[in-house]
Amino acid sequence: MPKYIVRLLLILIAGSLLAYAAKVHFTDPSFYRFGHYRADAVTEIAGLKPVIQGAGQCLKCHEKREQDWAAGSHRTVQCEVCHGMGKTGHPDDGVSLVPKDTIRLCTMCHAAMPSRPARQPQIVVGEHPFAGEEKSQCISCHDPHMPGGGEADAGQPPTGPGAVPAVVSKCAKCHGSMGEGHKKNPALAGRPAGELADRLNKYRSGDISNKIMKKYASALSDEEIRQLAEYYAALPAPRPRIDP
Amino acid sequence: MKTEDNKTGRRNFLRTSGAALAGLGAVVGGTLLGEAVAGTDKGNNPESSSPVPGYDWKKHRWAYGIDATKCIGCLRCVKACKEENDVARDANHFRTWVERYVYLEGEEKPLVDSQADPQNIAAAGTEADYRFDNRYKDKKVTKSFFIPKMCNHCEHPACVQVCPVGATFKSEDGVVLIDHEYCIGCRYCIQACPYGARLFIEDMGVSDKCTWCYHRITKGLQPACVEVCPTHTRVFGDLNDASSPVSKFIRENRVQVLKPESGNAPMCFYVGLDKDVS
Repeated sequence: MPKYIVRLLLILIAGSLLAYAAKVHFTDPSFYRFGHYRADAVTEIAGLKPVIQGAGQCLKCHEKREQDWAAGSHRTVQCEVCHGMGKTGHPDDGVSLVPKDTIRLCTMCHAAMPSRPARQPQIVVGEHPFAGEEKSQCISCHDPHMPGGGEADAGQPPTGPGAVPAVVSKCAKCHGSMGEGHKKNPALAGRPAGELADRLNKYRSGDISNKIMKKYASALSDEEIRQLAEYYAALPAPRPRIDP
Repeated sequence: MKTEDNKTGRRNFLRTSGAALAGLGAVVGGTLLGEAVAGTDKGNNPESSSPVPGYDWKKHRWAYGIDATKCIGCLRCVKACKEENDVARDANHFRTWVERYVYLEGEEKPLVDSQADPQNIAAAGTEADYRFDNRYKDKKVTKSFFIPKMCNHCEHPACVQVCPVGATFKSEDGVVLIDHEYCIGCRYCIQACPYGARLFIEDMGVSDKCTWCYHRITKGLQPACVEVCPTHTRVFGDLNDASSPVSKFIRENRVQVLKPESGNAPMCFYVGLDKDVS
């Protein structure tokens, strides 16, 4: 073989070896372990710390909340959805996670929008509970930890013994879908039918002064009052409330 | 006619070259030997079957389900994703997002907006919070719905195919990941993705994407967006486990994928898509 060919070959071989050495030197050792990528990247990504904690973390301290939360239709809503996600500073920095503006918070999911599925409970702000009603915070009537209560699904008419009067949905808005009561709105379920009917009649006539109840009772016929009273009397009385 | 000087010069050159080659050979040989030894070590080590300690990635095949008929557009998924993955809290960077489709009476084409729409940012008050405004409440709407979107973690991901440096790849358990250390910021993947699911982090000069919260799912948790979804619109799980939420979701529903014609074979399965959603 002529000398100049040998030299050329030597230079080519040397160049190839140099290139290969450079590749080996500069490629991460974990590259190609599983494929054309750096295997250590997977380890690094998997090693990040979770931020969203889930309800389990909250219930460690707020265990009394679990019974209510797990029974109501908000059981699918994780604590952090309403109380804040990420680095909130609670509890270490003593930051309170109680939402202040519940109108703004609740309408995030419950403001009436044409794009929302019909089965999602929705309200028109300014018309709920009454048109022209002064804006009051949602939690003044609703218990956010147990809306709908019991096993009943929110937005569905309550089911109970016997026929369900059509007007019952109006009562359910404040007194709970099973008549279990919310905050200052008393429980109706399990109360004697006579007492319930008597009460409604007195609201209607004005013998008991109550602006909100007069509004609702005035819209009821004698027959509807009888049906409502019998319906709620037949429902099981609510279990005692736990308020931590 | 060659001079003595020239001959000496060539001989010297060859001698030097020979020595250099020998030295180089030693270096290369050493490197290769080292590599070979390291390679054997890895091969014998049972830990090397998975890069994540305590998690066998060969046993899982992750998939995602989205029931768009349940989405209420509360955008908690978007919020959770940003908090979980430290995505820039502005209107230009999202690993997951939600689109609103609205068909007004008499219109054939939908009006589409997302949480990044200026009016929606105004409703939220800040770019760091997310909220759909109620602009259609007084309009005659014939049909409307929300569509959550994100990386589809395709079976045949175009983004992986185009990456020139092996920075983005599909893991053995079916998650398309990105290695920020290897990414050179060429943005081929952003162009290649038919779903617009990738984003660019300007500060770091790298591409970024949804990881299905790989750091959560390898610990047995749900991705952040699934964890916070109040309506179970989003479901996630292991296709190798017949009782997982996503196996059940695919079994019990007539599922679709976005842009099947792109050939990427997405692993996000939808219920309730519409003709104009792509």
